[in-house]
Amino acid sequence: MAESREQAVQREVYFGILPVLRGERQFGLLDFLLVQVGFGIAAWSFLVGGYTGSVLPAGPAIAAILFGNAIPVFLISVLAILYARYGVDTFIGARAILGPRGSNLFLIIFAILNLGWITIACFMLGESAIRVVAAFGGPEWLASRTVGAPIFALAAFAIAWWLALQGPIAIRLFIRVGVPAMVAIIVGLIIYIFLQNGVSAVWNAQPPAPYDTPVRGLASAIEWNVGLGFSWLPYIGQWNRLAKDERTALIGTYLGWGVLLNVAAILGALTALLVGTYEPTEWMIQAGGPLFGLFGLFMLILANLTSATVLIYSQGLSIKTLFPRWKWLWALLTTVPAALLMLTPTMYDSYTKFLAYISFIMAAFGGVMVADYVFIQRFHISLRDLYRQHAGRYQYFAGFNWEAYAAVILGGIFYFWTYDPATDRAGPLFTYITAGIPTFFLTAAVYLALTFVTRRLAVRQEEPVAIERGD
Amino acid sequence: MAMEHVLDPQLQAELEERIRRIENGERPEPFTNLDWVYMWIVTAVVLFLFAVLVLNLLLHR
Repeated sequence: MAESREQAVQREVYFGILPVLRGERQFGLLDFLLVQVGFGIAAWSFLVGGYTGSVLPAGPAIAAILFGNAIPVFLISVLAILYARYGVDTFIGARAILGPRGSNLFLIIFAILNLGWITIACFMLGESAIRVVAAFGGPEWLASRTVGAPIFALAAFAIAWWLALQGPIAIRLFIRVGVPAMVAIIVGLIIYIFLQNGVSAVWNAQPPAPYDTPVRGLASAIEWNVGLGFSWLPYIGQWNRLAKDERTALIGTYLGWGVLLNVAAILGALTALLVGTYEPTEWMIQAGGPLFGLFGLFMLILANLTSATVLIYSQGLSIKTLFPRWKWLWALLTTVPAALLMLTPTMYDSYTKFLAYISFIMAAFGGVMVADYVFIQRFHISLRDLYRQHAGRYQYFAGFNWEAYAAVILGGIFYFWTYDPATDRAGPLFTYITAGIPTFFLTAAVYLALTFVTRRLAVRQEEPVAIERGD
Repeated sequence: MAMEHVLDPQLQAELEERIRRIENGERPEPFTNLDWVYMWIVTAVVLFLFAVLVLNLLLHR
């Protein structure tokens, strides 16, 4: 049976490039928060908490987690207004700032990094599943990290892929059940840990793998958390285009990703301090006991399945902006290379390096995008010009906003001078200012300065022509 | 190449209609300054906790 026009339009609203009208918005504040928390509480938040707790005692670990996540999300959350106001995806909205080709390049960078995130979520699910298998006395090969975990990770990837194929309404129904259950288990685990061990034992526990000085540990922990905070940048649009009002978009983004997901990271830090390992699937049974621990492992499985689904949906939606004629199925197929990364634990074990690279890339892009939207576009963009790929006011030069990319490159040079993620080498300023947040501000300042200078030069070149014409 | 060259004609017509409606003001309720005040309050609490906990680390190292 041929698809009706109405069906085709609805498909393109939820799986494609059409801007979402006010009456079609799916998410009020509660649903929006559930989506953000469901997406946010997963492998990345538990792991970042675990790594933080392995280098810092409880108090500074909580400080690094709160600061490192809340401040970056606060800085980029203003972009939620853009996507909610016009009902467009991240990479359509970004055309106003980076240019159409510049936005496509940003999309390609996002799609590559997204494969890493999908892998981390699915592999932690695999790690959780092998612990459950071991707890129930399952076969040894299925409980191993090299065979069992990849098998479960691939199975989870297939299920998440199928859920993403169903679209955002199915995801919302899934999240309404899953997220409150996850939050309840996490809060229960935190209370259990404090009751079981006593507040002072948890508070005074020493980190298992501290740096030479506490300040250096604090700087690194902040940097990992800042990486997670800025990592939400390319995902803001996919969900905010479905927010019922701008308030939901703005507050929901900040509270969901900046504040509430910290509960999971704090749990990760506290248990890492008590048990001596950053790996959540390892500490879950040790810290929570057989009953709570198994509940916790099931929670990890659910949390990572939810997040993998959202990641796959987000990538599919964004790919459709680059290839509007592609079917939804084809767009989702671009996530399949993640399956290769799930075959070994290498990607999963390189999480802090991955976070630091994310911190540089997303802090630099975030600085440019926020500076442009707030100070140059002044919260107003032309929706019509967003959809004119090679025409209109957002064409810039050959489809690229070169000032934006020049600022991103300079931001990158500053970042790597301050901190080298590959070797964990700290530059002279790192322990005082860290790297990601200063990169955000530096990139924003360079971008604004470059734009100011180039526009002044353009005006000066136009003035003699105008005088000759007698304008 | 404009977007009209990569979309089906019926979707292109729908896109034009949606752009017109959104540009004519069919948008979600805008944010208010109060929303920013809430966000600043939460941020101030985060910064306060950060300052207290880090000061504690620096004083006891």
